[in-house]
Amino acid sequence: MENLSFLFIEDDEIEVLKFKKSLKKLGFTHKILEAKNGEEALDILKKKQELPNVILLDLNMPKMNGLEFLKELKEDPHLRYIPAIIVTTSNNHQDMLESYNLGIAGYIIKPLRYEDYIKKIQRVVDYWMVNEVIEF
Amino acid sequence: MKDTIQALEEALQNEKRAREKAEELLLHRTSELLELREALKVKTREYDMFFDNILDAFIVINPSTGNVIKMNDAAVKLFGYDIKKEPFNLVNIIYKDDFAYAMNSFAQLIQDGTFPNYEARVYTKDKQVKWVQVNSSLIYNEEGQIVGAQGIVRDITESKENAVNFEEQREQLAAIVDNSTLGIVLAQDRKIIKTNKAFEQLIQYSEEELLGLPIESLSFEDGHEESRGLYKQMVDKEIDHYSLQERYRRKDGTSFLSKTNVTGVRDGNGKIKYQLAFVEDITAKHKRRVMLDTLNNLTRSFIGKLTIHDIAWEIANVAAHDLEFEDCVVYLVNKEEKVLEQIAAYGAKVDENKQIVNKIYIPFGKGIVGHVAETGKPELIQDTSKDNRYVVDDKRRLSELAVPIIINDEVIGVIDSENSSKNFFTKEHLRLLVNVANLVSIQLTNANNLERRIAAESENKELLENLKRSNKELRDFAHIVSHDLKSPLRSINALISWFQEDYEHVLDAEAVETFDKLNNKLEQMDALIDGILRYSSVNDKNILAVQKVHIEEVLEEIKTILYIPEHIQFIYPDNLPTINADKTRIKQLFQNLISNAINYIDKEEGKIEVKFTELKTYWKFSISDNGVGISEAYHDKIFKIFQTLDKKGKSTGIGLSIVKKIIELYNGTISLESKEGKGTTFFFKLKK
Repeated sequence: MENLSFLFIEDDEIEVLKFKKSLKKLGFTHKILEAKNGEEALDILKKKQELPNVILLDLNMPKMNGLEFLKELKEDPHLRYIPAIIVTTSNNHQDMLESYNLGIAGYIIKPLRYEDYIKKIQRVVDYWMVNEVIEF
Repeated sequence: MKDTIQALEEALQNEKRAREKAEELLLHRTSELLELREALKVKTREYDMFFDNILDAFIVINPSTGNVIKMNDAAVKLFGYDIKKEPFNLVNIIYKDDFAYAMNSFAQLIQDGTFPNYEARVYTKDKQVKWVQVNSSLIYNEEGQIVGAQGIVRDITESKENAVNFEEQREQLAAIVDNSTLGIVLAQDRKIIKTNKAFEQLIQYSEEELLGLPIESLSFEDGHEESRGLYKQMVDKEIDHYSLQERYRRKDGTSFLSKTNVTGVRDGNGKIKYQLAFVEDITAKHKRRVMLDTLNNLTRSFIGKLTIHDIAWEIANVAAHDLEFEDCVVYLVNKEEKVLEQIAAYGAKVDENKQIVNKIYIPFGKGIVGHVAETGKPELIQDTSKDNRYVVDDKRRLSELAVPIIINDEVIGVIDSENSSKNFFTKEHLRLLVNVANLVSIQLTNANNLERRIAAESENKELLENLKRSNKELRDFAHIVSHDLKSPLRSINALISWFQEDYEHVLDAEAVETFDKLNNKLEQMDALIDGILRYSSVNDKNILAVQKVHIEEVLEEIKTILYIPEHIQFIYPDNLPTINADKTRIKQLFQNLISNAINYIDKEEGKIEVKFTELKTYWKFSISDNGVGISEAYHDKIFKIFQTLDKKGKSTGIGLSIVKKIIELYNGTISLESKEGKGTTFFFKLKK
């Protein structure tokens, strides 16, 4: 897929900026939908006007956190097919177990260095670009 | 001649005739004599036969000498002397105390010719003393002269002794009756006809006062019905005796509790002729019984009572009720206020709802109770009107008993009882209440211990819960904090990068260096946060696996993870074991120690060596380096979290704390040997 659409769920605006800047720096032109937390994300998804190909989400968020969002997502008969990838600073074993149990497409630890971050994002995007994703 | 011859013949003839006549006469005489003799013989034999055949002893004496001249076999048997073998004089055998009586009696015999029923003692040949009864008379010849004295002697020793025994027994019986501690009453138709001293002392009446009194007039009415019923049963021949408890009234108005055993004495027709009653004063026994029962009841009632308040009510009720106290108040010491509070009571001090009426507080040292609380000594006041310490509570009472309850040498309460009459309380009451107080003390100590144990147990439980909770919270906290701390670090790093990019053209070398230093610090901080995270998760049993860990494999992996510079030689033996543990932890353990070793090697040719020994219950490893070494002063310190000896580098002070924690997780120990400048060897054991 040349043009993917990502739903990026993150409460920290710098993180959002980082992601957008990274894609831009990498020359990608994929569409980015933004949500500040799980609730906002669900609102967007439930409208079903514009569904993303891939969801990237943080775990620690105010209101509805990442895991709670995942649960809701996986309970929806349609939305549950959208691949969701965790992007977090925490490598908490329990969180990892639970995430994989609920059904995720990846678990990425945010590295400290910005350049390392860009490298990781590049790989993730590249990967999903060679993947077949479900079109809604 | 013829004539002469004839004459001679005639003369001869005459003489012959005369001689024949004489002979005939003589013959006649002789035969008469012979007949007489025969008759005499018969008489003598008859006499002897009579003599021999009388069963009683029979003797004949010479009255002028006392020598026995005739005796029968019975006499021989009686006296032991036999005149056929030896002389036997009666005077010699008279019992010395009876001598005068014997002589007088003999004089009487000589005077009167007979002496009936002489009774005295004699010595037999074998020195026995025998009582004899003699009926005697004199024997005269034809001229009326006394030729002998005869007597029939009977041995009355036995009957004499029997008579003595009977008398003795009567005396003994009387002694028993008189000295008996049991009161004995003999009655006819339930009216007293005889009493003994003990009964008279018990009831305080004299025998004269008692004679003729109906038995019932002495005892309390409440027992009469039972007593009459039993007596009727006895009259009806259903029973021969009965026993009952009744209370008797003394002359002075006091009373005593008795156990009375009544036996019926019947006449030939089986009719009750007398009633014999044994009366025992069981007041003391009863009291002891009651006191013992009270103690038992209290002990029972204390079971399960844990507070002084509950116990106090038991004391007030059980003790006062059982002991027939008219009042009982239990006080509790209030140490702060220095007063005694009434916490339980019996009698006038309690209303229907078990509430204490007009509760008063007694200051220490005031009144008898306050005094007892202060001294810790029990007080028995026989007459409160003579004791100026006495404090009137609800009403003035004349005797008082107050006993302290002491725990660990400290008075915690006072049991107090008062009575309207003087001298009501006895030493037994005092002893009993002291025992009750001891019982309370023991029970409260136990209750206290129990309460403390229960409290401690629930506290432990709570602590454990808290610990579990805090452990979990700590873990969660560590993760949240580390996440929240790590995120800004990432943001800062990104912001710095953007700043550098945006202002690349204006930043000089110095600024670039400053940004590099800033990033270094960020990395240090990030490492520290990771360290805390790892440290906090070492104990997390949820992620603790039990698997076969090949140590050699672990070391191989570490070689690929850690950067080991060219100049450092890393050696390990080929006998390394496979142990049961969590691989991640074991790897963490070796990795931390080895990376420390790498970091602190300052020599041109570095060397890190792992060694292994198998002990009986432990795996023992050592990791040595030829690095800078650690001063002995820090040997303990280095295992503590955040302790680092190197402030400049990447060291976080967490690595060795994690090492220690992992080793402790496997019940092992760690120690080190080090020489500054020469190197360090860590020794550690893991339990198999």
